[in-house]
Amino acid sequence: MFTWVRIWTVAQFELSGFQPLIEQFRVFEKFSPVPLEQFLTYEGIIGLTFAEPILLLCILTWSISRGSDVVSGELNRGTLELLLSQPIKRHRLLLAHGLISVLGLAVLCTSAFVGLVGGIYTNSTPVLEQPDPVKIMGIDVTSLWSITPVQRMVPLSELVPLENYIAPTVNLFSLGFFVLALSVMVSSIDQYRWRTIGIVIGIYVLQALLFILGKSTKKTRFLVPFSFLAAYQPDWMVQATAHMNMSPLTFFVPTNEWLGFHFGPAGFSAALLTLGIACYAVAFIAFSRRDLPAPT
Amino acid sequence: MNPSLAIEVDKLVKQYRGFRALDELSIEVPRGGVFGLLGPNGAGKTTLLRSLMGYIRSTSGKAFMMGHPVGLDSLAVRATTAYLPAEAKLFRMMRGSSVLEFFSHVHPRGNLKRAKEIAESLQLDLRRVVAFMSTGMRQKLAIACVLATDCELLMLDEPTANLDPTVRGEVMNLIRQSHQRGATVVLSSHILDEIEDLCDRAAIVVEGKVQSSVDLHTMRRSFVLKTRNPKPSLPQPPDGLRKQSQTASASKQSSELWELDTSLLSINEAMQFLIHHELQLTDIQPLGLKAIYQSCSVSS
Repeated sequence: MFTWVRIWTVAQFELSGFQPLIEQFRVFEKFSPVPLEQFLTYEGIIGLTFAEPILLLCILTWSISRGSDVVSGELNRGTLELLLSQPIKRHRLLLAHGLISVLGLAVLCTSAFVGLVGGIYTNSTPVLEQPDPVKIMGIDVTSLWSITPVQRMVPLSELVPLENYIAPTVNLFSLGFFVLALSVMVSSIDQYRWRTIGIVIGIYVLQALLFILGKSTKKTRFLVPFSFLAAYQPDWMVQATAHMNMSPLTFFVPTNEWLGFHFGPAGFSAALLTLGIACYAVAFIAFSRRDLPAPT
Repeated sequence: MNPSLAIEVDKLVKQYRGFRALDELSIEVPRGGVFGLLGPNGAGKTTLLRSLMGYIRSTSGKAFMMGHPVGLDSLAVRATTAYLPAEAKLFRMMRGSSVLEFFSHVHPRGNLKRAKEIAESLQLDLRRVVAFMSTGMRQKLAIACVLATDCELLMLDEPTANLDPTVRGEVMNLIRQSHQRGATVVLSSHILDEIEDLCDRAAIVVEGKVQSSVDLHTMRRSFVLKTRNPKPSLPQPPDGLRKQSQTASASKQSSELWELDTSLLSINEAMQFLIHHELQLTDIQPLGLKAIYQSCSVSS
């Protein structure tokens, strides 16, 4: 619903009017993964939906609340004791919980995408167009006097290709999956849910700070790869697929930088998914080996 | 591993940082028996049960439950064991009936019909959501979940805590019925009467060790005799009569306590021995768990 409303809002404006506003933010362009001009295109401004705090909050709230619940939440409530007195393997408990959480996450991301599709197909936006040329006796005389552009309502679906948003949706899912797995990992070691949530939010904030710091100056740029948020690039993915003709399935893009490559749209998502799987692996090992404290 | 034993624990140690919760604890529970675990708070009873269920890993020692090695085959252990934790917590958002259904389905030996029968016998309102149940009602619900399973071994950690005396009696009857169906029962409790009524063997655990192992059948035949004018030297008493190891308290220094096993020596014979040696009998009482428990607490 949120993504639909977001697109409806975007559709109310003719974007060229934002040019002066964009210029005001030119100094902050280094923090943006894409040139600011992209936000003067409907593709770009719709792609910005994936950076909206409300959408991220929904995804992260689901991931952190579900992930923190699995072990430390159950321990906190004391329900793990009776549950594990049944012949259930610990890793099966974690797996069953993980499957439901991932399914829920997929539903959330899919509904965000469906809202986006709905928004694009049900909304039209004002576009300024030059009027048809005026011809007198077959001669174009339009240039002889000034003509104000005509505003016409154009369906967004004519301006924005939908497939550009598949990679950002997958990227959103990957971010959610990683945060879910991180929460599960901390939860499987911890005893109190409030502390698990605190630790995960703390890690997220630290990573965000690291990312901002890395983006701020050339000297601190080396910090960027140490933040998992560097792998969350929905805006760049929209630009790469729309304007750089890059396939959403590209994992690596060759560059002249010291690594010799940087991630493509699929690469960023795969990096987050791999980190998530690693966190899940640690969670499985930690949970199957740990002592479970008695309920308090 | 002894196949006649339901539980075999050999020198089990659980060491925490600077604290030994189980200190080379060993117990043997025969199959088909009712075994009581007694001990003060923090003695290690719950730690022992939780180690056996695989919640915590022992530092050293071996344990087998129904022939399965604890820790190595925890799944098989839990498939044959029904465990009621102390202060069992249930899913707060579920109705009582849903909780019974859940546990009946998740355990391969679950029995929903029996679970409902038990809940009915405990006068439990299954329509109520767990969050709105009293502590006692939640305990009854947990008991119904656990006692309904057709497991060979029942481990109950303070099952009657939070229950009123009438329900307590009902729960004792249910445990008795489970035992009559062939289940081995391990009961941890602070209530000595319950252990005395129900169990045929008991272990008193103090500071992570078994301080005393009691055969309750023998105990029920035994009496404590109190005598005055102790003699410094007495001949060996007849079989079945023995002087208790502990001394009387400071105010009763001139008294001595004797333990008499009436399966070996009648009360008359014991009294003849005491009179013959000019020991004045001042009191005679059946030997109860309380006396044994107190003697263990004093000696520890």
